[in-house]
Amino acid sequence: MKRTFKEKWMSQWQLQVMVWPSIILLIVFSFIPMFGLITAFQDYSPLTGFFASEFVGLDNFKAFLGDSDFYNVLTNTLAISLLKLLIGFPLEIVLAILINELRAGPFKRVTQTISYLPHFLSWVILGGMIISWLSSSGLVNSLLMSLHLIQEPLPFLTNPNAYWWVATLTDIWKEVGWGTILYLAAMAGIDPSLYEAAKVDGARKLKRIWHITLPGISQIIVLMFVLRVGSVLGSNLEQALVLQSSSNIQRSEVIDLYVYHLGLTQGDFSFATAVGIFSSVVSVILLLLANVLTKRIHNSSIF
Amino acid sequence: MRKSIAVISSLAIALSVAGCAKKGDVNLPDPTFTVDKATPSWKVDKEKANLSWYINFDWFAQTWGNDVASKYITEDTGVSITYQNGTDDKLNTMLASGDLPDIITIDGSSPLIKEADKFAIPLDELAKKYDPYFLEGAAKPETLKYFTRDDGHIYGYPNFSNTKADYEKGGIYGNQAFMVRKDIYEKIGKPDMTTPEGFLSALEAVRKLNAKDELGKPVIPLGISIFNGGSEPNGVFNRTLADFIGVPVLTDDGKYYDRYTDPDFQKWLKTFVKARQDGLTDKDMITMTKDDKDARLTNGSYFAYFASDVNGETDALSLWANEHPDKVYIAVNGPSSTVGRKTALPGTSIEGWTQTFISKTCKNPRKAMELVTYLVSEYGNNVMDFGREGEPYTIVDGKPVLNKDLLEFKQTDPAGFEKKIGLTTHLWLQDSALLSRQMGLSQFPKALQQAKQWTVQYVVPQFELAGLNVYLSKESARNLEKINQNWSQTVAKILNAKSDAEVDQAMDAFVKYRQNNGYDKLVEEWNKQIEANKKKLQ
Repeated sequence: MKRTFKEKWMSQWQLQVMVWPSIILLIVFSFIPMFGLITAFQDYSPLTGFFASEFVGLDNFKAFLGDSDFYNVLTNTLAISLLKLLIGFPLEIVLAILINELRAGPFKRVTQTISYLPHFLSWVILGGMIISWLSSSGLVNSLLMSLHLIQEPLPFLTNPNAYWWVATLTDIWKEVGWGTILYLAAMAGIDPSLYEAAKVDGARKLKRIWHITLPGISQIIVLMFVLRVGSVLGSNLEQALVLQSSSNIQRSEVIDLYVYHLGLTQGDFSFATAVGIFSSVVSVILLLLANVLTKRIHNSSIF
Repeated sequence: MRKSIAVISSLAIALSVAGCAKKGDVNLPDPTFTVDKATPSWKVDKEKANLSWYINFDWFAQTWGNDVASKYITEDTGVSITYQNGTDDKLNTMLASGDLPDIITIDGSSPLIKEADKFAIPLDELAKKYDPYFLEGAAKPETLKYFTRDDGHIYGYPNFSNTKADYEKGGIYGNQAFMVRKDIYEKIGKPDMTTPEGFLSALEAVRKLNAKDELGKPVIPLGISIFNGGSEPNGVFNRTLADFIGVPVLTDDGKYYDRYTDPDFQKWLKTFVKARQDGLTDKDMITMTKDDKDARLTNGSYFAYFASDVNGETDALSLWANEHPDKVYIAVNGPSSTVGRKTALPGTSIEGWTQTFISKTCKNPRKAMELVTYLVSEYGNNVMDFGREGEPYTIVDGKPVLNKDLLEFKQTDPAGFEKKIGLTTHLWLQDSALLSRQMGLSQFPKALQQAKQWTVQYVVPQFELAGLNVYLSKESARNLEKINQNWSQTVAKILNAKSDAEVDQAMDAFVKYRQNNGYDKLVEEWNKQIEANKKKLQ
C-alpha cells in the first residue's frame, strides 16, 4: 500500500526536525546570498544597491582575464595547491597509519596532541614565527650554519623561487596532524578480527597495513581526494598575506590575495565577485572531474 | 574567494531586508531660535541630544562620558555621544542598508568618500540653517574651500587639516628622520653623511669600530623602517629617501613628476645597493616584521636608522633612551641631494586624516551640526585638548599649558591618560596645527623631541598632491595597485642586485611594466586632480 506524503513525513518526524534547521540555514546563508552574484555584472556600489547599479556586462571579467598578471597568479595558486596535494595528502595518510600502529598509551596520546597543536595557531601568529625562524640570523639558518651544512645564511624569504616550497611545507607542517583525524576515525572502525585473522595467517605488519588498513579507509581517501581537488583554486589567504614580502610577490600572489588587493581594498566588489565566480566555476568543474576519475579508477565516488 | 562572496552576500541580505528608503532629500525642520553668524548656536540652543557617532577604525575604543574632556563637551553643547566603531565591512553593510549612525568618521583615503553625496547632508546647508558660525568663524576658510565639491557643497570636514596659513604660523613638524646612535657617531668623529661617499665611508667606519649591541652581537651600520605594515611601503624607498634628497613632486610646469626615475634618486638608490653589497645594512630589512625591528632598536643594534615614521618608533626609542641616556638616537643630516636640491619633508596636508559626515538618517541634524561647529572651533579645540581654563590648564604667555602633574601623566603613561583624562583623545575634528603651536615640542615623548625639532626647518606644504588617489577611476585604482606592487618587487630586486647594471635592468623592467598597465591614463588622472587642487588652493 502506498503511503501518502503526509504519513511518510509523520513517520519520520524526528529525523525531519533534525534536518530542517540545517536546510534553513543553508538557504538563508548560502542560497539567498547568491543573488549578490549579480554584482559581478554591475558597476556596483553599496550606496546605489543591486537594483540601481549600472550593468556593465562582462567588463569585470574582461578586466582580470585581460590582465597579464592574472595568469601568473593562477599559476602560483595552482602550483602551491598541487604541491600541497602531492606531498601533504599522502603524508596525512602515512602519519595516520603510523599513529594507528602505535600501542595505545601516553606516548601515542602525546604524539597525537603535539601533531595537532600547530593547527590551533592562527597564521598571523605562526607567520611572524616563521619569518623570524627563516630570517638570516634565525633558528633555521643558525642551526644549519653551526652544523656546517652551509657557509652563508640561505635567503628563504627573499628568494622568490623558494616561496612555493616555504608556503607548501609550512602549511603541511601546520595541518598534517589535524588531517589525520578523519583517517584515524575510519581506522578505528575496521573490524579487529580482520587483523587477528591476518596475523594467524602469518601476515606481517606491512602486509596487514596494505591489505586491511588501506582498503578499510579507501572510501575516506577518495572523499578527501575529491574535496581537495575541488579546492585547488581556493588558496590560503591568511598564509599568503602574512608570508608575502616585496621580494617574493612574484611567486606569492595567489588568487585570494589578488582579489583582496585589486578588489576589496579598493572597494571594488564587482571585480572581486567576478573573480570569485570564475574560480568557483573552475572549482566545480575540477570537482566533477575528480569524481568521475575516481569512479573509473577505484570504482567508488562521493556522488 | 568565498569570503568576498560572503561579504557581498551579507550586503544583499541587508539591502533586501531594509529596503531602499534612503533616496531623496532630507527634510530639515526650522530652528526654534534665531541663528547668528557671530555666535555659535550651542550657546543659544540648550536642548539636549543623544547622538551616535561611528568611527571607521576598530582600534578606537574610547567611551564617551568616562573622561574629563567629554564631560566638558557635553556640559557645553548638551550632546552626549555613543561611539560605535568598526571596519569597512561594517560600514559597507550599514551604507547598503541605509541605516546609518548620526555622525560618521571615515579615513580620508577611503573610496567611499567619493559618494558622500549619497549618505551625508551637506555641512554648508546645515550650517546656513542652524549654525552659520561654522562657516564664518569655526572652520578654517582654506580648508572649507578645499573641501567644497564640484556641486558647491561641503560634505565632510577633516581633522588634522593643515593650511598654508598654518605652515606660515609655524609649529608644523615632519615625521621622517635619519637617526644615528650618539655614542658611536661621536666615536667615529661625527662624519658628514650627506654625500654618497661620506655615507658609505661612515658606515664602513662603524663596521671597523666593531662595536657590540646589548646582546653582544656586532652593531649593524644601517637599518631602515620596515617594508611591510609600516606607514610607508618599501621602507624609505617610496618617498622618504626622495624627500630627503629633495626630489621635486611636480615638474616645472606643475605636472606630476616621476620621482622614481629621477637621476639623483637613482644615484642614491645605487648607494644603498652598494651599502648592501658591502654588508653594511640589515640583511633582513626587506622581510623584517615590526617586532624584529623593535628588538633591534631596543638593543641598540643599529648605528644609523632611517625612519619613515618617527612617531611610530615612540615605544622602542623611548625604551632605549631611558636605559641608555648616553647612547640615544639623534637626528642628523642624512642623505642629501648631489645636485643642490633642498630637503623637503611633507607635513600633514590640507586633506588632513579623516573626514566626518552628518548622515542623512541623523536623528537630530541641528544638534549634530552644533557639535561639529563646537569641536572644529578654537574654543572647542581648547576644551578637547586642555579642558577648562583654571582646572586642568592655565594660560601662560597667551598659550594654554597643561598642569604639570597632568603633563607628566600624559608623557609617562599615555594609555592611562587617554582613559581617565581623555584630553586630545576625541580627535576626530581636531585642529592638530593649533594644538601643535600651543604645545610645541612638549607634545612629543622626550625620546623624539630632538628629531622632531630637526624636521621643522625642512617641512614644506605639498598640497597639490592632496587626495591624489581618492578620485581615481576603478580601472586606474586597480592599475595603481598593480604598479605599486611591481614597484615593491622592483625595490626588492634592486636592493639585492649584484651590480649597477642589474639595478638599471630592474628599473627598465619596471618602467615597461608600468607602461603596459595603464600608467599614462593614471598620470593623466593625477594631473587632472593636481589641476583641480590648484584651483581650490588659490
